[in-house]
Amino acid sequence: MDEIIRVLFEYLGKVQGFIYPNEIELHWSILIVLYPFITGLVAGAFILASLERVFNVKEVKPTYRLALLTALAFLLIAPMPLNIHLGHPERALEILFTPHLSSAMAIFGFVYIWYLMVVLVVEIWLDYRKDIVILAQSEKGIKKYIYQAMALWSYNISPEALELDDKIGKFVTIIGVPSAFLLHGYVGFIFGSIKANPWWSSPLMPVIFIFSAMVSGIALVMLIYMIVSWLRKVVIDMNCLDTIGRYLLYAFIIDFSLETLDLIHRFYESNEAFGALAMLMSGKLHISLLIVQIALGTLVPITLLSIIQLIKVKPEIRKPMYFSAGMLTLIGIFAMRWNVVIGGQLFSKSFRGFTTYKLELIGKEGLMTAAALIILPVIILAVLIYLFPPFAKETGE
Amino acid sequence: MKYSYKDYKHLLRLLAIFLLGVGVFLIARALFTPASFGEFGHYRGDSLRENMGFAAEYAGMAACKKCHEAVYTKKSKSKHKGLSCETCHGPALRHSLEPKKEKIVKPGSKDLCHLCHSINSVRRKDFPQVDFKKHNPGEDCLACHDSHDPL
Ligand code: HEC
Ligand code: HEC
Ligand code: HEC
Ligand code: HEC
Repeated sequence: MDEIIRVLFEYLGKVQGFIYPNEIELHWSILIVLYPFITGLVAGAFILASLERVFNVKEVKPTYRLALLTALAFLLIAPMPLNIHLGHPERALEILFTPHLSSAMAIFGFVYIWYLMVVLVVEIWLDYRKDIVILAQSEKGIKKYIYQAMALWSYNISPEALELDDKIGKFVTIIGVPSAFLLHGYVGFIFGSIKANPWWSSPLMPVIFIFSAMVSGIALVMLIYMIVSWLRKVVIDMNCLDTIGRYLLYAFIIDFSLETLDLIHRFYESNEAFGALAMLMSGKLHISLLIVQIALGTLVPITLLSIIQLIKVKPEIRKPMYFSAGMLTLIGIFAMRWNVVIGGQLFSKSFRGFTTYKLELIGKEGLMTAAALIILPVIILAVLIYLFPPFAKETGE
Repeated sequence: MKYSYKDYKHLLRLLAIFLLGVGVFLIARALFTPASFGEFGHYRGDSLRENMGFAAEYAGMAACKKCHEAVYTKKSKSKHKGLSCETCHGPALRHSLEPKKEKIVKPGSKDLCHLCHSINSVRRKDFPQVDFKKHNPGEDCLACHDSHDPL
C-alpha cells in the first residue's frame, strides 16, 4: 500500500488542479495521433488522383498514378497504429466479425476493407492492367509469375478490353471520391461523436477532418512528386506543380476557415467547458496549437501559396516555395491531429484540472514506433514504384 | 452487345475473387466468433464469467469492526468517520479471513496525508488543507494527529 501511495503521489506531479484518477494517464497515445494522420494522407492523395480522372484536371496527370500508389502505400499501414496500440492482434479481427450499429469503432474494418479492396486496389489494377500484362509477357523468372498472377492469368489487352477497363475505372473513381470522404469523415466522426469530450464533440469535426485530409494528402503527393523527380533527374512539370499548388491553396483556405469557424463558435458559445479549453489552448497546447499548427503549419504555407498566385515568381524560386509550403503543411496537419487527440485528453472532465502527456522514446507507444510507422509506408511506396513504374505512361504517350 | 466474353473475362475473375473474399469472411466469421457471444447481450458471455473468477480484494468496513472494535468506534466518532479503513490500509479481504497469516500495511509515510490534505485551489474551500512546507515541516504527522481521530 505504501508503494501504491508513493507511486500515486509521484503521478500527482504530472497533474494540475483536480483530476479524476482515470484521467491522469492518457489512454490514446501518439499512435492514435498517427492513425488519423495517415488515413488523412490516404484520402487526400486519392482525392488528388481523382481530380484528373473524375474532374478532368489534365494538368495533374503526371501525379495521377503516383498519387494512387501513395494512397495505397499509406492505406496498407493505416490500421497498424491501431493494432499496435490495442496490442491484441489475435483478437483484432473479432471487432469485424461482430459489428454493431451502436459502435462507430467497429465500422472501421468495413470502411477500411471497402476502401482498400474495392476502391483503391481495383482502381490501380484497372489502370495498370495493360502494363501488368505487358510485364507478365516480357519479364523473366519470379517476377514473371508475380505479374501473371496479378493479371489474373488473363492477358487480353485488346482496345475493347481496355476501353471497358477505363469505363469501369472511371466508375470506381466516382465511387471512390465519396468513399475517400467516408473514410476520413468517419475518422472525424469517431472524435466528433464523443459527447463527453467538449474538445472533440462537434458536428464540424468530420468536415474539418476531410478538408485537412485533402490538404495533407495533396501536400504529400506534391512533395513526393518533387522528390521523385529529383531522384530520377527529370524536369518537374511546372504546370502540374502549379496546379497542385493551387488546389492545395483552395483546400487549405476551406480547411482553415472551417477550423476558425469552429474556434469562433467555441469562443462565442463559451459553454461550461470553455474555461478549461481556453486554458488548454493558451497553456498546454500553446506551442503545438498556436505556433506549430496555426502559425507555422497554416498561415505560413497559405501565405507562400498565395504569393505564387498573386505575383509572378520565377520557377527556380517557386520550387523551394512549394517544397517548404508542403513540408510545413504536413507538420501543421500532424500538429492538428496531435492537438485533437492528445489535447482532448489533457483536461479533466471536471474542467478543474489538467494532466501531462509524456511521450516515451522507446516502447510500444513510443516515438520510435511512431517513426517506424511513418517510414514504413515510404518503403512500401518505393517497392510499389519499383513494381509498377508510374512513369511509363507519361513517357510512353 | 459491343463487348464479347473475352473482353470482360478478367473482370469476371476479379468479381470471383471478390465473392471468394466475402465467402472467406463469412466462414471466418462463423469459425472465429466466440461461442458465448450474444449470450447476455452484444458481447462475449464468457467475459462475465472470467471477471467473476477474479478473487475479491476488499472486505468493507463492516468486516473490520468484528475484530478491531476499538479503532472502529474511535474512527466513527472522528473527523475521519467518512473514510473507509481500506482507503488507507489497502485491500484487506485476505487479512480479514486470515489475520495472522496475511499481513496488512500500516501506512507510515506522510504522502498518505498529502493525497487528501495538501493545499489545492480546486478543492472545496471548507475542506481542511495545510501547506506542507509550513505546517510543522519535517515532523511526522502522526506525532500529533491520530489517523483514526485526527483532531
Ligand atoms: C478476523 C479478525 C480480523 C478482521 C476481520 C480484521 N483484522 Fe486486522 N488484525 C487482526 C489481528 C488478529 C491482528 C494482529 C495481527 C498480528 O499482530 O500479527 C490484526 C492487525 C491489523 C493491523 C495492524 C497490522 C500491523 O502491522 O500491526 C491493521 C492495520 C489491521 N489489522 C487492519 C484491519 C482492517 C483495515 C480490517 C478490515 C478490512 C481488518 N484488519 C480486519 C484481526 C482481524
Ligand atoms: C486516514 C487513514 C486511515 C484510516 C481511514 C484508517 N486507518 Fe488504521 N491506521 C492508519 C495509520 C497511518 C496507521 C499507523 C498508525 C501508527 O503507526 O501510529 C494505522 C494503524 C492501524 C492499526 C494498527 C494499530 C494501531 O492503532 O496502531 C489498526 C488495527 C488499524 N489502523 C485499523 C483500522 C481500522 C479497523 C480502520 C477502519 C475502521 C482504520 N484503521 C482506518 C491510517 C488509517
Ligand atoms: C482519503 C483521504 C484522506 C486521507 C488519506 C487523510 N485524510 Fe484527513 N480528512 C479527510 C476528510 C474527508 C476529513 C474530513 C473533512 C471535513 O470534515 O470536511 C479529514 C479530516 C482531517 C482532519 C480534521 C481537520 C478539521 O479541521 O476538521 C485532520 C487533522 C486530518 N484529517 C489529518 C489527516 C492526517 C494527519 C492524515 C494522514 C495520516 C490524513 N488526515 C489522511 C480525508 C483524508
Ligand atoms: C507538531 C504537531 C503537529 C504536526 C507534526 C502536524 N500537525 Fe497538523 N495540526 C496540528 C495542530 C495543533 C492543529 C490544529 C490547529 C490548527 O488549525 O493549526 C493541526 C491542524 C491540522 C489540520 C487541519 C487544518 C484546518 O485548516 O482545519 C490538518 C489537515 C493537519 N493538521 C494535517 C497535518 C498533516 C498532514 C501533517 C503531516 C505533514 C501534520 N498535520 C503535522 C499539529 C500538528
